[in-house]
Amino acid sequence: MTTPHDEQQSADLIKCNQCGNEVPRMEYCIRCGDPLSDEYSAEGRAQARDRFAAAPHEPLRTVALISTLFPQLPRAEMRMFRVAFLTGAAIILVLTLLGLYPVALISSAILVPLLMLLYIWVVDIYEDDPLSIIGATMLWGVGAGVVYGFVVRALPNAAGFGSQDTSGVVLNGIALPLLEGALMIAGPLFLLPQKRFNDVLDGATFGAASAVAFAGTHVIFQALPLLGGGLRPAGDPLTWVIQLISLGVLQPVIAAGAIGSAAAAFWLRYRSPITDRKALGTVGRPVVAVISAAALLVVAGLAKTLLPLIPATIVLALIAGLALLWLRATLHLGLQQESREIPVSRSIVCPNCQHSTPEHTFCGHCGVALRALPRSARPQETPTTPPSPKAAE
Amino acid sequence: MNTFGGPQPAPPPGYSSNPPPPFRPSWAPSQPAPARMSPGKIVAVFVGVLLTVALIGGILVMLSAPPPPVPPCPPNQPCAPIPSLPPVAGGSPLPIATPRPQGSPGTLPTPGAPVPSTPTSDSPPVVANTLYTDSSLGYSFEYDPEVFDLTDHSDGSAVLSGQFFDTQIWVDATTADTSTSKMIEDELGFVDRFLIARVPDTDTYDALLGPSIGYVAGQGGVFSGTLTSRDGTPVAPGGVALISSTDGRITVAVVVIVGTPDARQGGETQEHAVRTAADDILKTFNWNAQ
Repeated sequence: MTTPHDEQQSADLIKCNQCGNEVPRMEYCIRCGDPLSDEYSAEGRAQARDRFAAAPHEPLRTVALISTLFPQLPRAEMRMFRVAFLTGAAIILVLTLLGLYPVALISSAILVPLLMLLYIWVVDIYEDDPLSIIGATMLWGVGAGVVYGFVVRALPNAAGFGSQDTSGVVLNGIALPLLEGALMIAGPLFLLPQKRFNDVLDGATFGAASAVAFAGTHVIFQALPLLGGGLRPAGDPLTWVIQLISLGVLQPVIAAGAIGSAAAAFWLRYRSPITDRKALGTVGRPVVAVISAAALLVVAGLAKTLLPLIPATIVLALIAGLALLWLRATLHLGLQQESREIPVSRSIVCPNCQHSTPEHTFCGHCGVALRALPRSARPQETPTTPPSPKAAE
Repeated sequence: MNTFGGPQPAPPPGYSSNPPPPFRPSWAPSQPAPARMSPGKIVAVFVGVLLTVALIGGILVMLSAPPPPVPPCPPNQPCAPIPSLPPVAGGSPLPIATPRPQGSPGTLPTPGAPVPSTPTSDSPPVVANTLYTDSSLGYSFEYDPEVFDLTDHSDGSAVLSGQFFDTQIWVDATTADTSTSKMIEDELGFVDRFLIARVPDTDTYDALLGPSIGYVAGQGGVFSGTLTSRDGTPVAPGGVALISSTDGRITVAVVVIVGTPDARQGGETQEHAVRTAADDILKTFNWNAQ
């Protein structure tokens, strides 16, 4: 039986078409971050709009490098990270066209890892213990990259001369990529038992950080003899541009997408505050995620082994897009599932837009994922909270 | 602020239309900072660090670069080889008369008599090193087992790997249906699998002089690029010298691949040292070893 009070309360809520929950009438859904404009213009007309939970101004199914690899950035910083990435890419392009290939190679190797390091530091994700966290992820990637470099050098015919027989294809296209994947994800998994890292974003960040650090270190370590060949070794600049796009962007992105998604699946399964694990679907099963990540790395390895440079780069670009979409979907689903476990409680000030919003997963004004903000910017609990609306669950 | 253009939606239950007092811990700054630095500084720091690393890398590369090779002879001056033996003490020996062949009268060949045939030897050829014979196409060559290892071989193909240098020599052969230019094209296509950004080496110091295999003249070229590792990562500068010849029966290509070709080996570059060793193989190439 409904009371007039219940009817009034119901009239002040609106059903979000994206997540299906009754939420306060604000600009964005506080549960999934979807803009409520459609719901206002056509009440009750279900028109699902797939928006990425960590960046509601972007579609979910789109290949976006910065918002996927660095989901905890506020919007203004996200824009600047894009500018920084493009500026770095332009610098590398100029170095390559000038024929300074060794310098361009070093710069491309550190392009994405440097952005990741800046991301971790700028948004202060792990303010309570940054050194151990960064050490456990990026330094692990650096160490693993060096170890991997030694392994590759120790293999017979390490320079890659000679015929590519079946055993060579199996070694280069399958065994080495699997070894890469195992080394990259091992470090983040050491952090899995720590209960304070209980977000899907934690797993994704650890995995991606380890992967890009591994990729950059491995390239520099492998290329050390190249540094002794002079500042401007002979070579075709166009080929070098393609090679550096592959080494500096595509391969780190593939590694970050695959390993970040696999690590996120572990965190979703074992650390997230989700009671209904089945709601995560196959993406939340670590075994499936690890097999999928291995498959991405192996396909990339086979493409590099069997195809000439340009076709291989095209295949790597497709795989990188796929890896980003996968990581994006994992983050989106994880954030949404985690949001359903949290009751609507008090009002807070959004660190992103400075407006008041009910404390939940997303800001009702700007739509940013509050869990995706740096921990230092997240509001703290207090006994003097303003009156909170009744939970809509 | 309403961004939809419509009426401002009513506040949710339990909220007033005025913003509630913002919550901040006592130790927190008055305005929560979403990031440690301003957006503009992010780009500046990133670009600054990237350029600094690039600059340091460039300096290290410059410091470790090999010096340019010194030509064995000064340019534009007569170049005489250095004497290989010390002068004999006491001066040159006096000339000694060569005894003339002693022939008795009547031993001159009689017109119409049969001419003696060219003398032949039934002794085996002198083999100074290890002989490699390809019975399928009927050719052979020698290589020094203390310098090269035969790491792979099959009908019409042999791969020699250097023991002291980062080098490989491929000796590939096929029937003469394949022209030398096609053979070179095929070999370069294979080289491009592991030598990226290949360009012709125009340095006169590295030029091929009179390319030939087993004293059969052919065509060839010298190229530079960057060698890649098993996973496609650039690992070292690379140099490739390639020669192809044909005797009308078979076509042969010899490919010499050298890692870090400008590294010094004694007074010459590594590429020259390897090509000198490869010359010894080319000179022993026997086109008819059936």
